[in-house]
Amino acid sequence: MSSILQEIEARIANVRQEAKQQNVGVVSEIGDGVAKIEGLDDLMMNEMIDLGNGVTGIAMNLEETSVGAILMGDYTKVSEGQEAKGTGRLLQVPVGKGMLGRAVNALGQPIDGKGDIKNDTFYPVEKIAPGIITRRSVNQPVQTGIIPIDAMIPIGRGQRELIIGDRSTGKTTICIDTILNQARLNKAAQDAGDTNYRPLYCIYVAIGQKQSNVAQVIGALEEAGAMPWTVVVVAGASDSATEQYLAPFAGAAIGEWFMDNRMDALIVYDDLTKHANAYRQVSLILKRPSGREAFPGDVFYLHSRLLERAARMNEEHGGGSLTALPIIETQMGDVSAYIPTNVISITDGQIFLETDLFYQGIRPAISVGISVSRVGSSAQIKAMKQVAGRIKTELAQFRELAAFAQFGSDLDPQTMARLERGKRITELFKQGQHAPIPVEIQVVLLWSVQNNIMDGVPVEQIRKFAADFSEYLSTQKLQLLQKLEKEKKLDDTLVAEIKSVASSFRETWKP
Amino acid sequence: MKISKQTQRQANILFNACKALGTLDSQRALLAIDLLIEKRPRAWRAILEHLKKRIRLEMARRAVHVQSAVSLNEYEQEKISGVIRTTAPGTPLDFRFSESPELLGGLRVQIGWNVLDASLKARLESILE
Repeated sequence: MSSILQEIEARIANVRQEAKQQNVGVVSEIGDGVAKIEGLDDLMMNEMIDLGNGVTGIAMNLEETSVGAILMGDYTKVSEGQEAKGTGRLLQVPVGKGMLGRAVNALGQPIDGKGDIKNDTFYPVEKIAPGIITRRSVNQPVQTGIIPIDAMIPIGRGQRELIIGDRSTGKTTICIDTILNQARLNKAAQDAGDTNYRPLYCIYVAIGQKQSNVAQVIGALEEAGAMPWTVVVVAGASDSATEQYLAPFAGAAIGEWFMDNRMDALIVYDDLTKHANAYRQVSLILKRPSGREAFPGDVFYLHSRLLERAARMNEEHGGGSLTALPIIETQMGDVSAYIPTNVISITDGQIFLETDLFYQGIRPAISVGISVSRVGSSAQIKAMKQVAGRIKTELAQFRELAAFAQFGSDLDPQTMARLERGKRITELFKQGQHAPIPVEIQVVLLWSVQNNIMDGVPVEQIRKFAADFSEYLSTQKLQLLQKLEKEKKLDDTLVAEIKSVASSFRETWKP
Repeated sequence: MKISKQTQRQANILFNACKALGTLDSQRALLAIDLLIEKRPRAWRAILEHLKKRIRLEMARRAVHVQSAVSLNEYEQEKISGVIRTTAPGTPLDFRFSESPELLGGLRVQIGWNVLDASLKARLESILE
């Protein structure tokens, strides 16, 4: 009993005796998740406003006589004439390793029914991106486990790579596969006790997605055992536009904590088209002037300030990184629309997915011609550079020749050989979903296709050959893969070893 | 009533003209409103509406509301008013005193849009937080 009394006394002693000072206002208009508040003349931009009944507002418009605020919570509980109080705090979300394995909303509150998140660290949702002095160039790879990406459009830690395409072309799948591959790599390093490996933590931000889709994604992550390294931030289609607008910023804050604490993180924004739409809705209700396609004038800044937060820090500043994979959904493949062009110009490259390729069975449906990675090649491992250096050119030549070859059948042997090689490379690049391939196997497969090992294999059997060869390598030739993983480059002895392994497998393999 | 930006600007000019030494002069405000009604310029009703709003907000900025758990006598009211006046010298303030038993004890003073809460209720709430 005495301890309770001591506790009570301690709490009372901690209470400040001076008067509580607060800035207050009165709600003059309310509707559509937005309130206009008179008074509150000492408010900061983006400050949280307490409207009572668990409803919180965020100051978005500071006007001469009033404040425009977007509301979170059940705004039907707010009425005209009600008092609103400034809190003096900016919106912040819990961050830290305690968030891993959890699904949270835009405010960082758990929505997965797994109980409270025990965290005492908070980060502001809006934060200025790291400056140039604290950054360094991209030099470490993000292995996606998807052959065409790792070979031709490599992504580096700290890069921003846009994934763009029409609906149902496999945009989310690419991101989920990347997360699954990180989980595989993280788990392998953890099991092997490799302290030099820097695990890549993942944050998946679902903006305006159907709850069924989000549940599917979480299911896939759980099934593959990727959740212990992943945080899912959800602002679904049924959530308010305010939450959809805030979710990517909350996700970025969670990712920044890893970056600031010398760790690496990857964040997927799925998708920024819906984010722009939510911001347009909020802005129009706030009566901000609208511009092209009714988006507000600062929609470019909305995405640029979000994506600038992805960075690779230099060693003096911890060496952490935050890689961003924003997704944009196009309409009928139109990349020249307002939001796609904005985000293309902000990011360090894009992976363009085409509906036609998707329905031709080329999955992932990556359009090699217009997909680029502006900085990722410096992060690619040397072995991959050695085998993949010529692939993009070969594929481009194949596409050109394939179009030309449609008009005639008399082709010289050299052209025929190029066409056959191109067909095999295209076939090799086809990959099932949620089945990332380790980079060592990718190197051996690409080396094999370029060094005539697969020439005798019928084109329609290439996928089976690749699958069987991968299995053979990972079960029978682990030493070779380990050597490749360790050395990260192909020297003469390693090439000879790959050649003998590939040739002997080719001789024994039967379709 | 939808009030355009242009109309708001005109009402703001009129509102600033109603000020003397930085504070609203009620005589000037009444004169401005009379003139507006008499001359009836374009969108005069909207101008009048916005001017009314600006005056209402200015009055609210000058209003002081002192709430206490028990009623205060004249001496106490005068003393509190004196202290508050020293915080904003030269600004005309409109005082209002009221009794609010829900405060349990102490005072809650609202000066314009700022609240100084020295009530027992606020202290108990801060313990709960």
